[in-house]
Amino acid sequence: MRILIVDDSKAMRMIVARTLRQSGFGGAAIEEAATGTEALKAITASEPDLVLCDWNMPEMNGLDLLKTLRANGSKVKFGFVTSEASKEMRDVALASGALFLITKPFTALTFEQTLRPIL
Amino acid sequence: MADVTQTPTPRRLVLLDGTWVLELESLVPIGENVWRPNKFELRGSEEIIGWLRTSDEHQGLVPLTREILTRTVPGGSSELVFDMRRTGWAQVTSLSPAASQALGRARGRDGLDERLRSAEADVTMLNSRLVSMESQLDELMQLVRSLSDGQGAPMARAPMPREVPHVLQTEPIQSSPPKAQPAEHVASPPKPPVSAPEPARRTPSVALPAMRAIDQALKVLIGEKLALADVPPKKAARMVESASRWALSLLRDDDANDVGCIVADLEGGVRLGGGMMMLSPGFIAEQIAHQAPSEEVVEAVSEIFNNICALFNSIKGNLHIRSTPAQFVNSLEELPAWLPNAASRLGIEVVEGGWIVLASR
Repeated sequence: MRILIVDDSKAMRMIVARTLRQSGFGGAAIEEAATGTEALKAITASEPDLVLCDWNMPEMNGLDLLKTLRANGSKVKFGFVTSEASKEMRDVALASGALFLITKPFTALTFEQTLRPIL
Repeated sequence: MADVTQTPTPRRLVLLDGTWVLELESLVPIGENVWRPNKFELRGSEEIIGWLRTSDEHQGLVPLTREILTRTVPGGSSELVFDMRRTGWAQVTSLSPAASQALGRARGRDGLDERLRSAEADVTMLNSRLVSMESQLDELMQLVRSLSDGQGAPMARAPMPREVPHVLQTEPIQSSPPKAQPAEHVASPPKPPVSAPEPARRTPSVALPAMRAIDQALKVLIGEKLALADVPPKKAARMVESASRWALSLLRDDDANDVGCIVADLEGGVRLGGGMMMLSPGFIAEQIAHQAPSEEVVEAVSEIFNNICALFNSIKGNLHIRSTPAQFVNSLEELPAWLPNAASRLGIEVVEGGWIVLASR
């Protein structure tokens, strides 16, 4: 299983990877991308089983990345891990094809309960 | 409560054309207090039992489910349906007499298991109530805090319940603050002279998160080794003025107005950021001694402040805000000019050394 973490913050990528391990996904191959553009290249080259993406990023934000993927026909499983919690943003995320939206601060239990049904 | 509602829950067990299907459902939040049901299925006995075994909450269903899957093999029936009830699976379509007998025996053997499951369900329910009550307590504390912030010095004006000590940890600021009275004098505050001007009332732009919420969020990011303590409001104001270097993140609404900020002294910032990046205590001490936070520590501090910002956004009625990346600044002039007169603030001490202050404009 391959999981791609997309976040412009190295610290947050580390926390997300650590939380994945704590929530029972330690066996997955964790890949990282620091920008939406970088993630788009990686996903286009070889689709991971899941993309965990930040919302706010320079160059291409998480929502634009998701929209671009869907426009290109990608059906990769995609979820947001973000501090953005407004109802509008949740609605936009789900309407654009995100499977879930995990808001910070999160716990290993949140990851387990959200990811297990879809992986 | 969110964790409870997001847990996948078995709903139905169905035999369709010779294949057992377990229907599960979880609730996905799609907004504040709005959840979307998310249904999915597991097909095949092996997969169903495998999932139940790995489920902390539902592994108690394994024995009964296994009995159903292995003993109620239908003769002529092409469909069997079991609904999830409080005590386990309940058949909602007819089984053959032999299958019913087999299932009855299984239930008899599993009587103790069922009682255990029932007791566990009660514990889960009580835990949920506890979480709910804690959440309500947080909301009440927020309400009392925002009321006290909006009305000036609350202790001097009205009795405050002793059960909500956090109320006293934010500092309402007004143009001419009256002297706070000792708590025992609160019930009968002296009336101000008629000619005295009414002090200006200031409502904080955003309500501050509860200390407990911040403590929990930081423990997730940094670990249990982190020890925090809240500090009296006057001390929080002095802490900001007495430092020589600060980590600063501004909180901005959707129109880019500054509505608050998060500030830490250098030691607090390095301890939090270094803790999050799992740096060695020696490396953290070195950065504090040299007053030189590394790039990764600065980035980690940004993320910590960003997580605290998310706590602001989770408070009902608060403006939606974003935090700017943390910057270390070297003079008081680089801090927001409104900070000394912040409408409310919350000071938190890192027990090992250093502090954070959350302030609302």
